[in-house]
Amino acid sequence: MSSTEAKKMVVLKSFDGVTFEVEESVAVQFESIRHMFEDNLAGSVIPLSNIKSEILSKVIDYCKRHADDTTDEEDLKAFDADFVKVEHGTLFDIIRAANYLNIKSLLDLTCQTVADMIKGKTPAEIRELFNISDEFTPEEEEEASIITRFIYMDRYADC
Amino acid sequence: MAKPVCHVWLSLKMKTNRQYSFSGPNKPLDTHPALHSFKNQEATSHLREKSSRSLQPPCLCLPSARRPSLPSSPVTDRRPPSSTLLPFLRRDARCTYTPMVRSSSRRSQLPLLENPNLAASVSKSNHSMQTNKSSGSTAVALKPRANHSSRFTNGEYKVLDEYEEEREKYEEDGGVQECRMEDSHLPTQGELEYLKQRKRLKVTVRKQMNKELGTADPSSRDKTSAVYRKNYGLFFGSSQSVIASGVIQESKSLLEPPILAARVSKSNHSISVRSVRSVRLDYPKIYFRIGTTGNIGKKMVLTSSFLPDEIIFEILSWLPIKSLLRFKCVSKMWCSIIQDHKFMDKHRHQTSSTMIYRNPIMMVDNLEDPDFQLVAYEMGVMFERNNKNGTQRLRKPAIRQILDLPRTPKYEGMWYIRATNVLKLVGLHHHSVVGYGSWIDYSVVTVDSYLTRRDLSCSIGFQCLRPLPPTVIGTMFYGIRLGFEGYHEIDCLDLEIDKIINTVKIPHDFFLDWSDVCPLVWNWKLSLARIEQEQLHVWVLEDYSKHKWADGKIIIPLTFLNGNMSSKDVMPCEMIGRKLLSWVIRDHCYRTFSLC
Repeated sequence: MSSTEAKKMVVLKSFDGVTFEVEESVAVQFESIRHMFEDNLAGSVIPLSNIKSEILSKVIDYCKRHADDTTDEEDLKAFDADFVKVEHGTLFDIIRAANYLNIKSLLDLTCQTVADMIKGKTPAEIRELFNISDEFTPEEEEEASIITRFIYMDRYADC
Repeated sequence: MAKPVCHVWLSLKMKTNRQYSFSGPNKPLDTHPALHSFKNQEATSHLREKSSRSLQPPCLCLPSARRPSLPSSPVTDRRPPSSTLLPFLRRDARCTYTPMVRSSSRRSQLPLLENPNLAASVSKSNHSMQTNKSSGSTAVALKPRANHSSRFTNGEYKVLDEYEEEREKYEEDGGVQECRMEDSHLPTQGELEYLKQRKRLKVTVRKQMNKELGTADPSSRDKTSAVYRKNYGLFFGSSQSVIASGVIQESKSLLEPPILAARVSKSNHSISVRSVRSVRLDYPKIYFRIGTTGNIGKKMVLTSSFLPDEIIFEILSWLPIKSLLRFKCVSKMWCSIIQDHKFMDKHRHQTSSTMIYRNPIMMVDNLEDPDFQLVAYEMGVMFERNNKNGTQRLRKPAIRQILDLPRTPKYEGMWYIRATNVLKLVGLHHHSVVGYGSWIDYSVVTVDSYLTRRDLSCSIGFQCLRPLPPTVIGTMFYGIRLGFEGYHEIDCLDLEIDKIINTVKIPHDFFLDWSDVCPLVWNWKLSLARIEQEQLHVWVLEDYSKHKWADGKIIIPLTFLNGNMSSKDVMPCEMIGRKLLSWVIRDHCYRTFSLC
């Protein structure tokens, strides 16, 4: 990649109106909007109506770091580990952004983080965390869980 | 010589087959072995009472005074009464039971017991009275099973099958009057008692279970694990929610003010709406939710903890199986994702490095039954046979499922069909009919790799004196039949479509002596081979669709045979290039021999 191309900038506009200038080498990681700036529309502003500015800045931060070939793997791992140390709401926002922009590595990283986080939780905690309205009535859940226990819990009685 | 060779290939679905009784979602809890451990005298006595009563002309709409003597029980001719979970399976049980009693007198030939759908449809006709009585909710509870021709008119089910006449007969039998008696529908003393009793039962069951699960006493753990061992594979699917919602709806309908119920039962429209909703809830499908994420996503995109379904899908795919099993009851959506095959595939792919999938044997531990011997292993599914009593079963350790297969026929092996992503087991059933000689049937069992879908198809009547070991090349199963007087044939069975697409005649002059002939895979073609005087004689079937055999016999000297190993010791299996893979009888293993 020549130096002039590397400096080509893409302008992204977040949900709350903040614009970000991103190098194209970083922005190519945004699979879902890639075609927009690849079609010679480099100068125009790409609106991202689903993403708040603080989240977008985080995502761009992540992509910048991962686009940089000079960072060695250990550093990158440490960065990733730090990156996901945010509160749940932010993490979910990042997941949604990663999903929307279709950044596979970020999606995997964040989903894995959430999975690790919820691994040991109870269904009730999960519902609270994910804001899932309780589709089962208490009776229904009770009975469903009895049956579930019948099926599976013989060896998972501890969890 | 005209041979009575019959090429009829019946494609029998499981439900119409008498010989095979697979336990599937259609036959939920009533076969649960844990049920029998429960010794509630009261309940059992009710059962007996009830079961003797239901042999009378069944009128399911009992007067409310007799109602508390429920729970009713399915006492089938084959299974002992199940008492433990009665409160949960009452609805289901009746669906499958009642029609059988009635029809056994009239239509005993019909394999009704094996046909839950049909049975349910009949019982629905019985239920029409009760439908009125306990309002639309009963109809709702039944509706999910109504995947055949029935429609709802004037608050009654019309079952559009041959049993309609019987239903009408029962209507005349006095069901109408009794139904009127129920019109003033308040939760009577009896009903309340019934609900209470059910609750009591539930508590007892739960205590019992907790006790069983919690004890560290090895003997009781063995008992428990025996119970579960037999039971894996019974419930996978939506059976639990069907039961749960049915029971709950019923308790509600007993307690709710009757006005609401009456209104519902009078309005066809509202009932149908409720039915539809209930179908949706009882059989959650992943796809319709995923498809609609767009709308939901737009509405809620900025509330911090809402995640669209596809993200949930992603997150769940990173979880260990242990957590997945627990999270099935988070919501119906999650449950349907976790049970979805696409999800399972992704999960397996994602977690392929974890112990569970890489090393299925590790998961066996306390399920392990030393009597069972592994016959085949494909896609995480183990096909095992108990050499002592001939029991056969499929087991998938990763999802803790077991599917018992019938003892006959003896299944020769299990093969994975990539195109349709299923596993096929082919059984040869060799039997003699007096006066008609010796016959062979093929039966093919299709299961998916999660043991949830099961189909069976059978062929009937191929004359056969001695079958050779079957051979599978690609998706083609070759069954070789040696018959009388040099009448030998090969059946080419395409496992992708479960159909014998060709039967190739084997010229009787291929070998003088057919005693040690064995099938040999010759460069992806079927061939027949025999070792004669330390030489391998091979006839290759060039094209099974054109019945074309090779022009001449191939003769290869077997140079590896010497004083240590005679021709009797090896059984050639497959020719790969210039190497012959053989089963060495003496060493009980496969070995490859180079041929010059």
